[in-house]
Amino acid sequence: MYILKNAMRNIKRNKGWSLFLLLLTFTIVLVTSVLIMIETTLKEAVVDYRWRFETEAKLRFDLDRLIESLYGGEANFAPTNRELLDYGESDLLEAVVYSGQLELVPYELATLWEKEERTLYLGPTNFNDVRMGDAIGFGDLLSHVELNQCLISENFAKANLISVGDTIMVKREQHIHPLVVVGIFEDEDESLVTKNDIVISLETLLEMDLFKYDDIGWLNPTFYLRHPDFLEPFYEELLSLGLPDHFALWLDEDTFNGIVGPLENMVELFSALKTSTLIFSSVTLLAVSFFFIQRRKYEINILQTMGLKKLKIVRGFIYESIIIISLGLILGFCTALIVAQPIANQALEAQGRAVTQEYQNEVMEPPELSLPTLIVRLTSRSLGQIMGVSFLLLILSSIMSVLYVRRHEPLKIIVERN
Amino acid sequence: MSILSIRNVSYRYQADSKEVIRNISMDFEPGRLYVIVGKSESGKTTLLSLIAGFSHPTQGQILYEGSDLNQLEQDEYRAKKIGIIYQSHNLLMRATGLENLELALEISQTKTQDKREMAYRLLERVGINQEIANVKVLKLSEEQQQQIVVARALITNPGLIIADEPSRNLSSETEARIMKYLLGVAHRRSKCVIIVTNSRNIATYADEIWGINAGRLSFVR
Repeated sequence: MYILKNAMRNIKRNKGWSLFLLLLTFTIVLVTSVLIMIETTLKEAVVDYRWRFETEAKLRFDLDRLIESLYGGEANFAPTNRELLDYGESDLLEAVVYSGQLELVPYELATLWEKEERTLYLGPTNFNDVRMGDAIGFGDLLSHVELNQCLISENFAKANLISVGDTIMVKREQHIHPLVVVGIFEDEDESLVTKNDIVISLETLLEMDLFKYDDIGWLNPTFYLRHPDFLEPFYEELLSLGLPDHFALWLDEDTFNGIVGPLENMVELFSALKTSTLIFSSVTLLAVSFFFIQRRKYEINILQTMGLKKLKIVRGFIYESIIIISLGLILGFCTALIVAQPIANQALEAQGRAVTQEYQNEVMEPPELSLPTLIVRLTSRSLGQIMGVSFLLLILSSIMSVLYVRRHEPLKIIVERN
Repeated sequence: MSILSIRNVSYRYQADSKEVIRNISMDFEPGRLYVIVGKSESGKTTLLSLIAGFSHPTQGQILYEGSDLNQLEQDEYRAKKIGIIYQSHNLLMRATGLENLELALEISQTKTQDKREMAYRLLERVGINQEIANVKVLKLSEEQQQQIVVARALITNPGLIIADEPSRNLSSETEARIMKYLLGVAHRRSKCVIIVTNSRNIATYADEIWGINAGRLSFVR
């Protein structure tokens, strides 16, 4: 107990050095914690994006093979709506999202830009879970749209004096279908949806007489596989269900590269920074500890002449290190929790600029970067790494005292002092 | 029975160097104050470092209460059995005088109800009041530091007290006070006090005076 008490007193007695060591460990813990937290988050984001990318597939046809099929007299050159819906029943899928547009004639309704556009677009549809938001950004809204219900645009509602709860009619050929308006969305953003859109669910679409199961499929399915390894088996399954082989399952590589490329660059950067910080910190801490222990050799000698065992002297130094490093850890870690997010945001932004610049330098059109908002989190993995760094600091700062005290004999004090 | 026996002890720092202690034999009894006088480089301090266990004889043996010093646990010997008064103080300079004494009590695991009270009492006896006792050693005068060293050597109540030029930094008044106190410790508490010095004044307090010259010890008075 008195060793600990004496260690605490020593910290106070040598407060200049203690503060210096505290500042050093604080800085090391802060820098490495920030780097570790961001690096870990980035790695997880990359893994997550890779998973999403490798599990999200769409149907695309290969033009050359399609022409070959047509020349070869292949009758079945595209799946029907029914087949497309059947594909979504596979056990290999986590979810499927269908979207599509259908031109309709308005029935006793005014359309916007009446003269030019005489049709309404029957919106993208959805069933099952929506994991990434659907293609036109109605993911959340669609979850509120049930059978025979719809969403309409604000301008369209104004033009026809429609309110939520009203029933509107849509017509195609001889079929008329009633829809209850359950929501009105803002339609300022024209890139999102045109002002005449009526958004319904797939369920409603399938209820409508105007939907033809055996028409050439116009629904656009996005398949979400349970596992990236299921891509090939799922394609095999689709072929066995009659999908013409000039169709392929397509992964959105451009989007993936636009997101993951910069993230992977950042992982490399942060990893390199972390390694160099650790090497530099270790060398600095060893040097500082050596200098510190040299300054205290007189004290070591005195304690030995007073009969304090070497082991207890070392224990005293280790206690001092534990106290200082724990303080440095707490302060550094808490500060890291605060500053990691803004640093990550800036790094991400800088990375985005760097990638764009790189393309511009080569007079190329830069890819569309849709960098995610990185939420820096403290995972058990990063916490483990930070604790590891602190333990390393403790070992490094203690190692000098262990070596020094081990080889020191109290006789020297008599000889040297005299 | 003697508390410390030196039997045919010789010592050289290195195998090929000359002997600084030459075939010394002597018994030290409890309850007596010994003064060993000698010029500088005569081997006084070396003899004390052998007795303190900082170095070991190249020949012969030193027995503490009949046990070979080499066989004793050195840390325990220095913590409990022997009190050392160094001429160069050897105090923890950033600690207070009180803390130096308290630490000595902790290291020696001395059982006492109130360590602080005990330390204050002893410091008072060597001329250090409570206020000075709570000042960092490095801020104290040489004399005050020396007084604290004396108190630290005595606080663990060791059987043997050795002192290397204990009066070097003391005023004649403090020297007299400390020497009287050491003499009292020797006589009333039956401790063995060994002082090496070249001060004739100190020698006047001795029960026995020995001379050391070129590593050889001889009885003077």
